[in-house]
Amino acid sequence: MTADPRPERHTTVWRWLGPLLLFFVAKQLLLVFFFAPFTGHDEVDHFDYVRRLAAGDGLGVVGEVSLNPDLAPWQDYVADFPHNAEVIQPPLYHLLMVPLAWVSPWEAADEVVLIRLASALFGTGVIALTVAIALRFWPARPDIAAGAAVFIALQPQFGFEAAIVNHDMLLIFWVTLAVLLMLPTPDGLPRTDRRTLVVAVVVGAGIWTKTSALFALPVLALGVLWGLFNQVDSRNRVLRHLVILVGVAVALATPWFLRSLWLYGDPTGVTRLSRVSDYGDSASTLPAMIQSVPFWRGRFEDFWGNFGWRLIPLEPATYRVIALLWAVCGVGLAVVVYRSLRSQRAAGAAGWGMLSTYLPAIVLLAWIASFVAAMLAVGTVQFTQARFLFPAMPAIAILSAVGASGLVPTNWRRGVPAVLAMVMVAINLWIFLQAVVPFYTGSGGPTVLTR
Amino acid sequence: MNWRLLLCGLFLTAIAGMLLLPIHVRHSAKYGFTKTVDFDRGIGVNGGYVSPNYDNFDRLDLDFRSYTPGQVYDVRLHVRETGTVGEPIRTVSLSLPSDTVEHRKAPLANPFTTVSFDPIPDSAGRIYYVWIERGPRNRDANIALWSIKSYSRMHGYQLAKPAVNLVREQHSAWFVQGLVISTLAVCLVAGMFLAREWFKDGPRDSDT
Repeated sequence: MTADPRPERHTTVWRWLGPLLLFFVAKQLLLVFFFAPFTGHDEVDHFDYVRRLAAGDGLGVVGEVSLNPDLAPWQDYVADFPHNAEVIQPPLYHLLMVPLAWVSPWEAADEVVLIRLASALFGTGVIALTVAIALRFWPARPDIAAGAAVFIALQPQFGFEAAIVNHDMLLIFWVTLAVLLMLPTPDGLPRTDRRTLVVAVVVGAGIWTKTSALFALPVLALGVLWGLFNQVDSRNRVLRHLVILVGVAVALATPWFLRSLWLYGDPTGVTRLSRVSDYGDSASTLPAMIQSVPFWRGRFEDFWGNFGWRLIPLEPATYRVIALLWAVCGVGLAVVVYRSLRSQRAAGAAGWGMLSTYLPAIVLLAWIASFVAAMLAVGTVQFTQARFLFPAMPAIAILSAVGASGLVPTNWRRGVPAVLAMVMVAINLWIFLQAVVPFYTGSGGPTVLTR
Repeated sequence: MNWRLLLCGLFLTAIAGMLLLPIHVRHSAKYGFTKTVDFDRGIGVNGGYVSPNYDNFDRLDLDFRSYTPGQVYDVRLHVRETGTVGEPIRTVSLSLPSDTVEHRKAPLANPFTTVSFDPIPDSAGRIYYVWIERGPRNRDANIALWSIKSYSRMHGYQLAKPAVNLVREQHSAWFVQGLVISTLAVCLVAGMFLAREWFKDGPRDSDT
């Protein structure tokens, strides 16, 4: 009988993950203070929503809830001033932040920093969960797990999201946790009902945080089907787990959907949100978005830049450098797929056997596709942004790490995460020196909108 | 050769270069630029205002849009501080082939033309009017200025003081002290972990 290697592996993973998480926390501590108060997207509204719940004023209705007058200095950062449009969102994130609002004795500009710290905490959790997912897929490749963790920890917009008051980071956390729990366990045993029930509860929590958590369901369903592909689960068991997953998650969220249906005429309230000026005017159609090069260029720019309510884009040359470096990861990914297909063919693999080899890649691609669909769906009713794709950030990070490792010889792979870290630190420093710090600082006040 | 040390050296050199060598920092503006075109009314103009938030304003990136193909546009660019009279404080002559400033820009193209001039030393907090004047051979040609970005050349480390001042202005002293202490503590612990893993003898995580 051999000793269980997992505790030892966990110890070695923590040796690099621990410092990385601490580095991320330190970076986020600086960012939560540096980004001028309320300059995150919808930050004024989300902050007001938290204070509203803390004061016991209830959920409120869009168009009827006005922002607290002490937030008026930041009115240019509010989409529907003087109203709070974010009360259309489910309240779980805001409820979780209520204790912070209760203990805070400070003015709004300091109180917002306290609540921002929670986003940094959720971001830290997302990095740790991403590492767990990568190691579940490829246990013998710590370089992929480390590369993915580095990618997320230093992705500039992820860092921005994890430094503002917004429910997005909690949503990313729930989705990542649900995917991890839905993957087959290392022991290869069939999935238990209780585990699927836990995943459904996590998805329910996700929907109570932001209704776009619904877009995680196809990926999670794929996780259930994995058992069928690997011949661990029978067809009936898979069907039962799918019913538990979707049924329980939707049942948990039903009260919120019914409330929105009652108040706004649709279960998510998006049609009401599209009536907010500047929101609905930017709506488009699916074919128009999909076929538009400027649309995808805009989403690429959102994904990496456009800090501070999209007011701080990066320079065209900076975007080009990032695109070039990311394209290198894409080429590496293509090389990995080509090599893998060739070796599978040489081994005579076909059918289910071949499919099971590619299940990790299929899950990751489905994860990305689901939230690209979410981003496009938002675009049909209001203006859309790449941050709606961020719940798939772990999948993007893992595939980028696979691609980065794919171009180097096997015995050099262990250095890839370190090189990736250095490149991304340099990119971050450049972005902040060239565009972000000068936007907030200098003569006349913290931002061009509040000067 | 110790590749690990070489890599660290290259990285630190790049970081030091960014902090010590002069770079162009973009002035604070909504979406990064000053928009001059009015799309709602379909009006294109020949000038607009920029407000540098740093000294040594010495560069403009201009989004020109021309409407007549096959021409070379002779343009004089002027910069004048608002509220002053007399000659512009900076004038630059440009010769722009129409294919570089055509109104239809490719989706992935950089629409801006960069123009540099001698630094304006005390530009922070002032407002400047920037406008173009067509040359004799293009007097009747259509060329407009859709947006303007402005820059100052400075050293990266010079941004540290304004950034610290921003945090101090925005938050109470108690908060700032808390930030410094907690960040230092986290960095110290992270540094200790990292040093132990990276520079220890024997096999490392990635070797397992």
